[in-house]
Amino acid sequence: MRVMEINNVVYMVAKEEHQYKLTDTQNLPIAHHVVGTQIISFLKDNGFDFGVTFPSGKLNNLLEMIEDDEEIFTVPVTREEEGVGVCAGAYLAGKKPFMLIQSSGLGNSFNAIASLLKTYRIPVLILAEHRGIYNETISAQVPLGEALPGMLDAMNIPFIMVRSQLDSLEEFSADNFRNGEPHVVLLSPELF
Amino acid sequence: MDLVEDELVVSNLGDPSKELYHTRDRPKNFYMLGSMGLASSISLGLALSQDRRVVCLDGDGSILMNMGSLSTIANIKPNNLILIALDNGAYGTTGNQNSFAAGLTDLGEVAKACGFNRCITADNDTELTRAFKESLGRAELCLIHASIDRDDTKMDEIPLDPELIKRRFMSSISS
Repeated sequence: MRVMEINNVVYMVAKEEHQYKLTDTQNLPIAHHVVGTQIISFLKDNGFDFGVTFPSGKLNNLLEMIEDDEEIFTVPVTREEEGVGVCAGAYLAGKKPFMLIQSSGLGNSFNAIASLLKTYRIPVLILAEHRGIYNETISAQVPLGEALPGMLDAMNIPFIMVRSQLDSLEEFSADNFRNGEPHVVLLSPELF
Repeated sequence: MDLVEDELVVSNLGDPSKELYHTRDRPKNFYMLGSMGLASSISLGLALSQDRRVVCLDGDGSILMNMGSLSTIANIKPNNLILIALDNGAYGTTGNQNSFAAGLTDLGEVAKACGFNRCITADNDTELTRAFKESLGRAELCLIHASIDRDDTKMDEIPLDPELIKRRFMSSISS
């Protein structure tokens, strides 16, 4: 049993037979079919009009909804790193971009986030399904999934981990767009 | 570059950007200083988000690094993007080490296989100018595979702050 503190919230990381579980004291369940709708409402209410996507198991329903939405232009990419560049281009042209990916894709994107988004102060919201930390069945997801919060911290990339409530999302994102900061929302599998 | 008027230009890190800066600096140039490989992706994002033509000056090493981008661009097919692959078969910035574009990999063929309808090969400056001029007159996605020479000339780094590059670029688009 290990304790990790991220953004002033204390988490317990327990490893039970290659399955990592992250639990905190605010473990309120939320109906998973509602989450997709809440996220898309958040995106539309806050003017997001350009999304770069890469398939991700639990987020695929949300992905479909976003692709069908007429107000949000979506671009599928072959690699998440590529998507960082596409978002940057969209932002430069006046769009408000976001990404919808799996957390492993963040691992594929760090230099792009640092040398393009952070260097030029180009804000992008990155929504990522957090793999490797909760009832994970694929062991290859574990090393990065577990290391990710620490890596985001080390790189000064603002992030939050959303496990039940989506309330904090709006303020978190608004602040970071104002500051020109790329920022990450790790969506726990518990949400779905 | 003389043919460029109102177009947005995105240039790859290293020599393409430095050369562009020193020969024809303008607010509508976006000099990419890091994120090797992403010039074409930035160009795609730009092309999809506004109506002006986007010209991407990319290098063989960079295209090889982000080859998936050719597939993405070809499949999405924006008609206001011209991707110029400046191919000297080498990694200029780090001392002209060979890239595989100098070996077995033909970037023009790669682009065709990825789905680019319009791929033009230009073996010299005259052909490049002609191909570019033609492409500027068409509303069609295009890749120009241009063979260029290796150059050892040392050029000064671009003295502009990245945020300045961004701000004046964004202003020039919205004006």
